[in-house]
Amino acid sequence: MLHFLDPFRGVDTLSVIIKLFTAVLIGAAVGLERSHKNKPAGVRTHMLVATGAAIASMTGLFIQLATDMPSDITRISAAVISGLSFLGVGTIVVTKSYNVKGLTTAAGLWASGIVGIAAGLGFYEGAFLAGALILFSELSAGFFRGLITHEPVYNVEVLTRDKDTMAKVMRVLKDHHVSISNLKMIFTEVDGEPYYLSQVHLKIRSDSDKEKIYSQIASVEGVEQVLEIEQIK
Amino acid sequence: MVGSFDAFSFLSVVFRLLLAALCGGLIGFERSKKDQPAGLRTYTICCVAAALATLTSYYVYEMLTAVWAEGESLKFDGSRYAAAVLSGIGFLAAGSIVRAAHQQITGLTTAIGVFVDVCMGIAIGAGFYAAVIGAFVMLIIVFDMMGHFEGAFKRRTRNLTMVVSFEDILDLDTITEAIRNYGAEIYEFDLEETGEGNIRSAVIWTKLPKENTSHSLFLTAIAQMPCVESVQELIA
Repeated sequence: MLHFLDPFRGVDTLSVIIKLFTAVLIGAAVGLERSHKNKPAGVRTHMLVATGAAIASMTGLFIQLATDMPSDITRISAAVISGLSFLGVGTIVVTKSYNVKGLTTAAGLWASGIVGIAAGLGFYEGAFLAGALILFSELSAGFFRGLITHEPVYNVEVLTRDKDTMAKVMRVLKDHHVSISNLKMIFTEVDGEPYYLSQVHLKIRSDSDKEKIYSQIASVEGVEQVLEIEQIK
Repeated sequence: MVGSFDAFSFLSVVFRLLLAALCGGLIGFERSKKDQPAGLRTYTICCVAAALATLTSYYVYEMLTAVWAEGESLKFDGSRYAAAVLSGIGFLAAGSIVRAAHQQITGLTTAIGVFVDVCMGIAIGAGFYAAVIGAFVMLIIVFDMMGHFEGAFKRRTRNLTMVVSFEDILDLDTITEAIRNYGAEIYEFDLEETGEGNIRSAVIWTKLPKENTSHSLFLTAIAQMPCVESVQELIA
């Protein structure tokens, strides 16, 4: 460890001030990115969490060093971690389309707490480095997003007359390495003629292939119409 | 002063935190590619924080013996932070498990993924590198390759889950009889709460006959029935 920092790891007034500042600083750093993206938990929330956790762990240390009461240094701060997780669950939201939002924010708050605990105990090396790494990862996520190519998924509607046609369509799609999921079929009658309306999610490699795939499906015998409803992803 | 990798020293603290960021980041990058709610940032944050918690335990122990000179305090338990971190991430992960439509549960893989990420972070913080390498390799295999394998497997399997919607509740008997006439077996079916109007729906778990395992042919046959409004296959 960096022993020149040792004088500031205790519970004297100077150490307390330095530790609290460290906690506030790193909490702010972690919260900066969240605030920039207008997430519900901004800079202040993260600073509060880190400071609260630092106070809790400092108190644990104080009880050990300055009083006679037998105690475990880590118990108070360990409870902080559990408690923050409860808070974190409260910020996670499930939307109407069954998407989970807020997981990263919850993890960030939880991590701020852990960093605050480290700061409160005087573990400056760990707290600063972890805070820097977390901040770096949040900032660099934008850079990495450019590297990630998503395969788009389209919701496509196919109108057929024969009951065997859909099976033929599936075979054609498989030959072109298109991923199929969520097949939904509705049977209707128009002017006494039977029609099968199928809705299926197709995962197609790139935009240029999309039109080729659609014309391939349309050319299957028995297919009346191919319609792309929307792009899901 | 700087020290080695194994013992608790400035160098090992730096190395382990960097390793945590790297491992968490790589797994998170993998998950980001699949558009998961927990992506690069979540995995990195959780791994680094877990490693920090474990390192803090080592720090406290060293401080107790060296700087604060309390001696080895009998009540100090070095594993308490790691245990609290694990139970805490369990709560967070539970928040990402979603109960979707038609009795489908989704988000379980995300939850377990974050949980294992924290476990890996704890091992990194402790310097248990052998376990870390094993865990990292396992995670890459499971997240990257098992997905394709499982998807392809599910599409070819004889087990098929579908939700059928119809108007009259008595139609359910007709439908189940038709399924049996097709040669398929019914494991279970579950009538759902009424949706809009008088359209009822039921989730049916079936096993397709050996002679005809085509999912689309079976679904077409069900859709063809006059009492059936729509049929949709559910793939978990």
